[in-house]
Amino acid sequence: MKRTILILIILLACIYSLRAQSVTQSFNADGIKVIFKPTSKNVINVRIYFRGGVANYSPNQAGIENLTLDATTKCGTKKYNKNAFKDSTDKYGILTYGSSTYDYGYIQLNCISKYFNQGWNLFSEAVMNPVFDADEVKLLKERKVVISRNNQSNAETSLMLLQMQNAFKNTPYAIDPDGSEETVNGLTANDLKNYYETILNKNKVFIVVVGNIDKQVLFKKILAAFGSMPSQSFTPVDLQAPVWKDNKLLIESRKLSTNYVGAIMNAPDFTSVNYVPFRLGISGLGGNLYQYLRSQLHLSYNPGTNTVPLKMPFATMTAGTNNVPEVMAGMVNVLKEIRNSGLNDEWLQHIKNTYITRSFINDQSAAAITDNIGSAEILGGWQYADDLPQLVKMVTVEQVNNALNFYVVGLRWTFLGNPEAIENYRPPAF
Amino acid sequence: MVKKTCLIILLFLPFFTLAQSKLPGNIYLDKLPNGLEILVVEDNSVPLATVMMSFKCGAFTEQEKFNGLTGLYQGMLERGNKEFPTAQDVGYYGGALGVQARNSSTSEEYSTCYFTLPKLNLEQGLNFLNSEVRFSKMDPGELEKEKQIQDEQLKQKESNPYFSLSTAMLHHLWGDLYYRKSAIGSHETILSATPALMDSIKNKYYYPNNAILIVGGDVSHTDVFTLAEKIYGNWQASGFDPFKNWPVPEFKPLVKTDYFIVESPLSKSPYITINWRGPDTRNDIPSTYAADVFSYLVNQKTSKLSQALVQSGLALSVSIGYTTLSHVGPIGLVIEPNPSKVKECMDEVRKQISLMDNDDYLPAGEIETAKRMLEIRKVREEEITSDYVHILSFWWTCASLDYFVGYNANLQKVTKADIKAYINKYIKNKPYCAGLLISPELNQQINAESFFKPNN
Repeated sequence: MKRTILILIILLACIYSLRAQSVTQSFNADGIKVIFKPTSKNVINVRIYFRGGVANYSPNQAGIENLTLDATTKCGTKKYNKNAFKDSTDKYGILTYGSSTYDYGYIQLNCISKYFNQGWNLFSEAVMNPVFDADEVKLLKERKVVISRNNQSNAETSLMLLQMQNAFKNTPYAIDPDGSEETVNGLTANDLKNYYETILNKNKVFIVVVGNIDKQVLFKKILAAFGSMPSQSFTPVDLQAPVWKDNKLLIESRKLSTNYVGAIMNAPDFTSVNYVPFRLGISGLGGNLYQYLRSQLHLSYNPGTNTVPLKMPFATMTAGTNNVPEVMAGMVNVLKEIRNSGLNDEWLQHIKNTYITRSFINDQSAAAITDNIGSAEILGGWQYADDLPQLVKMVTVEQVNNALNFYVVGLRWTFLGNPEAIENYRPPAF
Repeated sequence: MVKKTCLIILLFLPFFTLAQSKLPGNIYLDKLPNGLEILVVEDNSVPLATVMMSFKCGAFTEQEKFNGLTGLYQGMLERGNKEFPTAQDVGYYGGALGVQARNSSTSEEYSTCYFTLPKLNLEQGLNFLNSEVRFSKMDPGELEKEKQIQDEQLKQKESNPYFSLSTAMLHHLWGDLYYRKSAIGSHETILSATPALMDSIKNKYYYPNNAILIVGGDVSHTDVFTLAEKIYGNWQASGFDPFKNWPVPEFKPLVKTDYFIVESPLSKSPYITINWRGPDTRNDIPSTYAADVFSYLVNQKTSKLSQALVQSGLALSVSIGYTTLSHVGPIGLVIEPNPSKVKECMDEVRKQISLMDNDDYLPAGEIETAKRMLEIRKVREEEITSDYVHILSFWWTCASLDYFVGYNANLQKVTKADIKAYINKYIKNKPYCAGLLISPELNQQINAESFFKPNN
């Protein structure tokens, strides 16, 4: 009887242990790094990431990676022509697409677990055997040009692009990952095919999988699908963010009902011990700006801040306003005040709790989790995505205050709107 | 021997818990002795917890003089309580806990309050909710402020012409019990609310034995059950069944088809709604599944209905839907007619209704596709836990958790014959109410009264 009970205890311990294994893990599948987060969700998201982003190509090829990766799921594969591919995705509610941004590109699969096999077949075909059919690529380029024009007509998107071009002049980040009408129109199906061959490399890619799937099943699928992927040496480009000590202002004239103004400032690397304290400080700055410029002075309806964790990281302050000088002065005053006076314990606790909820409330889907894990891996290690809540909890007031004072040493301003609203105005000294 | 038996039972106890019902593996149900049901959705995706408490009360439990007051009562839960005396105190403490998406809502058959916060603050969050739900102050001054807010919200809705159409439809479809389907109430009932009327609502429905606590997120069900017992265990049950003491009256049958026109200068283009009395989860559960499959099928661009109305140019859009409820769910057909062809469109709508049970209206392949796509939609609805708890709450109140759990399997059993039976029982040749929203200018041009009427 004792032996029976002992066996039962061991058996139960094993079962509980298996049930508890829902944490993120990483493994190697024939030279490809795989990061897997099992969840109870019946929606599975898979992304194959391609490292490098805008550092992979020259400015005159702007948009090539975005177009190439999108084409893998839109222009058919060796096994499925474009229509057969689309019919299958429609039949089983499968979403696939490719995209690219500053530091990376990806091809994504999103489907329910019941139809994962069907989804995986399409996804692996898109990754390994895309057909860059000239006619289909032409149609896709036309759609990209329309999207690019729409982006140009969106003031907030335009402001962000201008800010990047202003602050990151002469670096890869001055390239718009979506490309311009001119650069996209200049790309051919053959360009895309040749480019894809340069990035389909076991040492340049990694795969993130989130969902309710058995690890062994996943492992076998990856081996079978991607085992034949080329393997070549890859050395990532070392990117160093410029230091913005000045207070330069770039003015872009555009007829808008509301003017937009933004400032970029330096930020710590994603892997720096200062990153989370800095990010909390910028979050607190955003709350103060909102309180001062919107609630108190009614000068802007949308003042806000953002920390942008890229390989060359930065933070932004932005606002839409028709009182540009007052808002710019207000931004500087609020920033100076928080740097001089700092936070206190009660305030920091508020920021921490609110930060956790706000950060994660829109990140509950399998796709959002994949995105967070993938971004963290690109920036230094997927573990940071899992550790974020604990890192936030450990932050002290002193760390926040020190980080804000150390990294924010100047502001690079960008203005979009009617130049008369800012005529003869110079940014206040910082 | 007894010791050994106990040990074996203890060892297998978790399996009994896991096998609690047909619930999915990450969902756990418990019930306190006071009747409070507790549902936990474990999802470790992000370090958050969404906390929600729902009650089986809403428009369907309101007498006419109480119409809209359940929603007002829910609003008052956020305006101060024994622990946090003012609305400002409630807001400040909520902010300190990292509470986001804090809100309440009231619909036909349920009332709920909810928020999301970091999982580390779960216990404080459950206490925060406990203070709101059980120890609300119902301060007369705060009540006056809340009345003004609710009244303003009603005014805002009234400025929308579609609201005028839907309000008129309530009166036509549900007759003298229309208010049992309208959670927002009227200016008169909202502005005449008193603390005594608020107490009356609380004393009828706000008890643990008429409520469910749902917690979803990166939590352990055993921790939640323990905390719920600790925090809500001393909440006294009512000792009565509110639905026996104050039965929800049945709607008188709709005996004849009824057409009406709502003229509004705010209407930019004509808009038609046609409503039938549909099945409910007390009396005809199989038809609720057939209703969902039929609605999905007909709403496809390739459907006969869409081809006859939209592809032909008679209408800009058409859609049909069924709302699952425990006390008669409505079936609604919504059409945006081509402004120059309103009469022709309406003639075709009537013709299409008469054809809905034909074989070529319900192709076998498309029925299977509809079932598969509904299944996929349900799985996708479950993906975001802070949204999923709302869906669970809805099904708990208007049907049951068993209904929800068995939904996909029962959907797969739906046959063409079931769909035909549903159409013949609730739609074809059955009385309905049809409303047309139209601008005075267009009405003058087309004289809608001449054709927008029964038997035309």
